[in-house]
Amino acid sequence: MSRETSDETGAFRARGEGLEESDDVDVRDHRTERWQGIGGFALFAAGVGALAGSPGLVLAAAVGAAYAGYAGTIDPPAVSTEGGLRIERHLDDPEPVAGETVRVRVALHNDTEGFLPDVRVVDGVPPGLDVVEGSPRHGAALRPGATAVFSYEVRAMRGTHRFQPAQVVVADPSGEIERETTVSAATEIRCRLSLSAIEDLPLRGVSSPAAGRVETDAGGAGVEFHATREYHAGDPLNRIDWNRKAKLGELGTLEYRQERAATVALVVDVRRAAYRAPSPRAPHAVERSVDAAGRVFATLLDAGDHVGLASFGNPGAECWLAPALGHDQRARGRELLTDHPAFDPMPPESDMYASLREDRREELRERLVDRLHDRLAPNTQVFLLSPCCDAFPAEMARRLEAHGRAVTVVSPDPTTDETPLRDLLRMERADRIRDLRRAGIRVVDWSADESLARAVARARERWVS
Amino acid sequence: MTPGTAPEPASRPPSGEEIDDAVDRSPARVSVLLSIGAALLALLVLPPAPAGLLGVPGTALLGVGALRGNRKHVTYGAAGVLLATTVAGVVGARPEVVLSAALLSVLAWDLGRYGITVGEQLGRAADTTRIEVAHATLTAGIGVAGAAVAYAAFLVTTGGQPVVVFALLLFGGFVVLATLR
Repeated sequence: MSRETSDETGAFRARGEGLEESDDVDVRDHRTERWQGIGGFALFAAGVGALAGSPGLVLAAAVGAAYAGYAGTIDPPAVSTEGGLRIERHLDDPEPVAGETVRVRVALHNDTEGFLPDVRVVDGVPPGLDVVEGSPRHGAALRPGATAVFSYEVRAMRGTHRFQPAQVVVADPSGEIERETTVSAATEIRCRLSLSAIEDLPLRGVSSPAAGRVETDAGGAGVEFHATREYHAGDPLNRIDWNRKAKLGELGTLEYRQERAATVALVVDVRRAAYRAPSPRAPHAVERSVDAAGRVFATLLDAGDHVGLASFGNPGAECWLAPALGHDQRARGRELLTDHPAFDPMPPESDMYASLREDRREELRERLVDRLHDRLAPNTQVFLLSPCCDAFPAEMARRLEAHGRAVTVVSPDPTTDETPLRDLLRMERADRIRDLRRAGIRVVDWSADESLARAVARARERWVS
Repeated sequence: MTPGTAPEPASRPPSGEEIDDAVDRSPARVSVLLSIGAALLALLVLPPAPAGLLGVPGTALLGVGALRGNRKHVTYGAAGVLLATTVAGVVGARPEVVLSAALLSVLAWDLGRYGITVGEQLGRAADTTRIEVAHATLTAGIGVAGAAVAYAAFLVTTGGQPVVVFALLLFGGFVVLATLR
């Protein structure tokens, strides 16, 4: 349908190409040829009118001729690479917390000298964001110097999102020529992960699963009563057993169960196989794993534990944050989880060792698990966050457990039972989780419709009994 | 058994812009209404016989096409109304009647297709009222201007001259304008 238009346009395009600083702004004219049939009608009506002696038909032919003449002689709208249209975006919160909605107000200015009766805009919503209210598309008729404003709402998704140039079509009054171009404005929206702690998260220890940290069987300072023993010189006064003194007249010292802070590494499975979602619109398992990692991270830091962060399985990007304590660690973890490339909402291009043979791949993967093990200090527990949609995460958990690490698997469930095949895959996953539990590995099976806190509470009942 | 393939591979995160069926791309309302309105007005203006035989089916086809987003149906429908107009002209309807019916059916044709275009490009959820009204007004303006010039020429020249003279006059004027360009 499109063909070269007038001389001006050609010259104009050449100028546009010469301008290298006008970053990738392209102007294309497109004849819609919507008036193509009208000239034919005009000739037909004029002929019939002349033959039949009907002045009305000749007049009707004149109407057709007017449209054909207008469409044939119209100039393209005066919007060019050197400007003409300008766009401004206003976000009511440029740094929202993931999950919030953000209103985007778009103002479109006509800086040309001419009236633009037909401006059609499609704003360049970043690919990772979902429009939840309104439309990023708008039609505006703009007088010289006028501004049109429209707005819509997007749901903030974790990560940094850059708005793309808005696609603009400017048409002449008859709609014959459509000039397509882009108008850009640098707008960025950075959605940070909310690091909200869940109430409490039992860690794997050697004794009872009572609330809190890792407990030891060694007596000493602490909260929970452990034993009494004879007083030794130098024992702190607040631990003297005064009841015993009153009853028996001799000094004794209370021993409490010693608690010490745990060291935990959160390992997020970001292999391609982990990018699974129950439906195309639902968040995928990596997104939920990252969300869970953020919550666990915050919960453990609040409790005074050392927490670290690692990604597993993206060949292009690897995230590693050594376990540590405190506010700085919290900030670092939040930054990394928000937009480290390893936690990209888009799956990696290729799987790890995708080009290798199956057995070789297994071997290299195992070596990676061993490397992870070597990297961690001896007493570090591992939280593995993975949907467990294939056999590998379970193998990884077992291997780490075999190296003597306490492993807890947090598994966002992306499966559904909508079709027989999917139901089969769902059951396979359930089997895998059952096997892990049988092997003594704790699993938090987190289904799509419950909160992480609830999933932990459910899992916890199992651990207590 | 393929253990590596679980539910739905989420190849890309959900985004309203990416998933096409999320945008309702049916024709824009205002243009569709104006298009059907123009065709109905043309029917009212035309004498009953050609209007009934050719105009009514044409308008129906145009209406269905404009609502459903089918450009061909809009064009065939408008052609039906134009044919009715031509027949009316041949059987001797008044020039004003033929002129206004032709203008209205051309407008119906254009607005129906414009509504489809805007619907495709911007979708139903977008606010497109202003460009639709602007387009309808300006397009009507072009037609009315052309009709006014022709009608003025008609009033001035009709002193017994045959219609052929008038037709040639208009045609010549058009050719001159086209070459000036």
